[in-house]
Amino acid sequence: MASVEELRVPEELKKAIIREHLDGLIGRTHLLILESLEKGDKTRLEVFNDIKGRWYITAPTQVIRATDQLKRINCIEEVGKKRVKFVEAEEAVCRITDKGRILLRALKEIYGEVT
Amino acid sequence: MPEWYGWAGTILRVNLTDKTVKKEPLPEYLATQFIGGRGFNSKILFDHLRPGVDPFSPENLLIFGAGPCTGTLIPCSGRFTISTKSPVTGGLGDANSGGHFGPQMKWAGYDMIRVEGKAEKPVYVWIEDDNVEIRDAEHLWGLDTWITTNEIIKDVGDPSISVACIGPAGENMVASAAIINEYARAAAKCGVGAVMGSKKLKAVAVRGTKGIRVADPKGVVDVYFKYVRILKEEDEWWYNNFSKYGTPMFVDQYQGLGALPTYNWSEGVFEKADELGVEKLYPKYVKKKRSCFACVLHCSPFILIEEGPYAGFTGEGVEYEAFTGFGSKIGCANIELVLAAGTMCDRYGIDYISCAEVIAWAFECYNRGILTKEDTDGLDLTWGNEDVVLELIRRLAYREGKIGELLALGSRKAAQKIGKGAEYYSMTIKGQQPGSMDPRVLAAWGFSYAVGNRGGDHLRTHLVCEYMFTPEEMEKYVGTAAASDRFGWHVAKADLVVWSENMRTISNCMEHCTYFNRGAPRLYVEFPVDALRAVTGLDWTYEKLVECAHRIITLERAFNVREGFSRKDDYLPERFYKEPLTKGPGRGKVVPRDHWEKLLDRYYTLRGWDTKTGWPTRETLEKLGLKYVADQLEELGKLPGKGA
Repeated sequence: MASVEELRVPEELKKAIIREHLDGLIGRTHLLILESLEKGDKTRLEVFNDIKGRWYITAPTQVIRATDQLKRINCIEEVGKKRVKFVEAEEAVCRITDKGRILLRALKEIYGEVT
Repeated sequence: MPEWYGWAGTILRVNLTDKTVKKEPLPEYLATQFIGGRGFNSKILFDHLRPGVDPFSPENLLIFGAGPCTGTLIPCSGRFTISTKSPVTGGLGDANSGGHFGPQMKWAGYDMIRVEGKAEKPVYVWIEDDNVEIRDAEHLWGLDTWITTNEIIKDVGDPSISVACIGPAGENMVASAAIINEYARAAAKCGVGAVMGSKKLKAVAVRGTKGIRVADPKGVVDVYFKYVRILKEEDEWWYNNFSKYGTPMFVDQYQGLGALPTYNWSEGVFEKADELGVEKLYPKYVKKKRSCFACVLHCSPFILIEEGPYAGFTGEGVEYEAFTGFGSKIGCANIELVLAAGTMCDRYGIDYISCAEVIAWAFECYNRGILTKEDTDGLDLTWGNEDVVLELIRRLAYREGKIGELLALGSRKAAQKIGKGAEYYSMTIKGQQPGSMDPRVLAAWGFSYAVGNRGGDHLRTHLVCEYMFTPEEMEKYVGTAAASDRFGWHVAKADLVVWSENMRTISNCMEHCTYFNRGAPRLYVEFPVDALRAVTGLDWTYEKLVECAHRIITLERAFNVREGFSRKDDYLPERFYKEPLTKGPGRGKVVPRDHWEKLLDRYYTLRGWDTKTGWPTRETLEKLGLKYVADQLEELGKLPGKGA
């Protein structure tokens, strides 16, 4: 888990992480999600299907929570809805933002390849 | 006597044998060391029940306990716990319920209502602030819980009272009998309704008008707004979905995880689960949403079936457990049957988790030729035959016929009676069935079912953080990210179970709803401290609360040790170790027995209990201020290393 001090990201993003009580809680899960979204927009469930089995990702709700955290610090944005089937019939489609790309680079510097 | 904030400061004792009522001051140590609710009840049970007492004897106690936050503005804190020696497990039993009963008993001036003895004829207890009466209930005996509630409201002449009562199942001392308050809230597990029936106590009705003093009124309001905001912002997905759908959303969720018990737990996905999902339930059958006192989630759907063979069935709060119990576990995919069966259980005063479990056991035994039509009084229990389900529930409630008498025992005792290998299909731990999440794909939750003090139990940990916390959150709060792998049997799962047991014990003692703290870790570790400080004015810390939780869990363990429990009782049903799931995300998964032993060792070590026996050690008991418990266990030869 990277602390804000370790993350090489702009001050504004650091402040957002602290404001949202996420200092020390951004790590490999977020890296995997951002990496998946960099390849294309996806719902949270689609992201889960893309990254499941890596790190300790074994349930969609882990990805939902981490994605919501990334949304709170503006590293992803929601760009429409799509029909899926995991409780909600429709789920938001997520897209990585410029800030998200910066965070992804910073996380890769710390963790490298996540298996 | 201290000046009480949060706690009402009085224990009400009602003796049904000699028809006396006493009021005692709440001892200060009880408040500071056992917090409230479940903690209070467990302490009183240990101290006042002799080992080996028959659960249905007048000596057994039935205790209603509220928490220090119950009846205040603290969000989702309106619950109460009913504790007794369980006729189902033979150990410590308790069951927890919501609604408005807990707040009413606090407003009437009582932290606990301790029912002792046994009435000669049916009675109910009426409490209106300081006035407490034991009233005749012969006219109510035989009535279902809804009519009983209405009749007591008529007797008292006040529709704003809260009534906790039993139905025919409790009167007939059925193992799955619950105590139902306000028509649809169930203190369900451990056979608490059967104990109430054995005491010929039909109901406890209460009206409180005194209110509760809190130490820091502004602080309470601040806690409310701060933590409701955290719930909505830091657990957004949970809040949005749960407040919209309630627990029926778990059908889709657990099907997705491969954890939906199907055909009596032989599989984890149900081929017709879509027929039971929230899209089928809403909006057709749900007419409005209701909630418990001080709730911010409003999870309870009020349903009505308007046409078809089940037309006219109506009621509140049919939950996930009914959807799997009267659905996937017996191969039925008719949502109307689920709703009808759920409301029927409420009316008869039945815990539908336990009831559905014994019915699923009977279905499996029938399909395997262990039970025949002779045993079922001619009923056809072929998988998926929905036509017999309501009739089975009715016969269970009234112990009618061979099958009714058998089902009324609960599956463990029923299986022992039948023999012929039927025990293998009883999916119970310590005689009690767990909640409906398959342990083969939710490892920590499965482990917690087995070590739970009240038998197979999903609520002692309510271990959703296993699949809701991010691995990073798991590492920060529990100590290792590895516990996030829901399929994995890493020893860290024991650490997670201990952490979750502690967190849920704190919730249970505050009498706080476990649906409030789910995915957001701050709601587990920061909220109780701030809430209890504002309400009670005492200097609570996280560490102090965890110590209280450990004390309570260890005392409950000691209660069970006195009754003969040990490490041998901390195992799942054999099926989970032997039969891999064959479908869905859990395909090929079983519970690995060698890992299980390591987990048990780790769990006992973390708890400070002996790894060989699973019994608390003297050192641990003394550290927790329970020296007298160690002395008592030593006298019984049940203290590790003391000739045990």
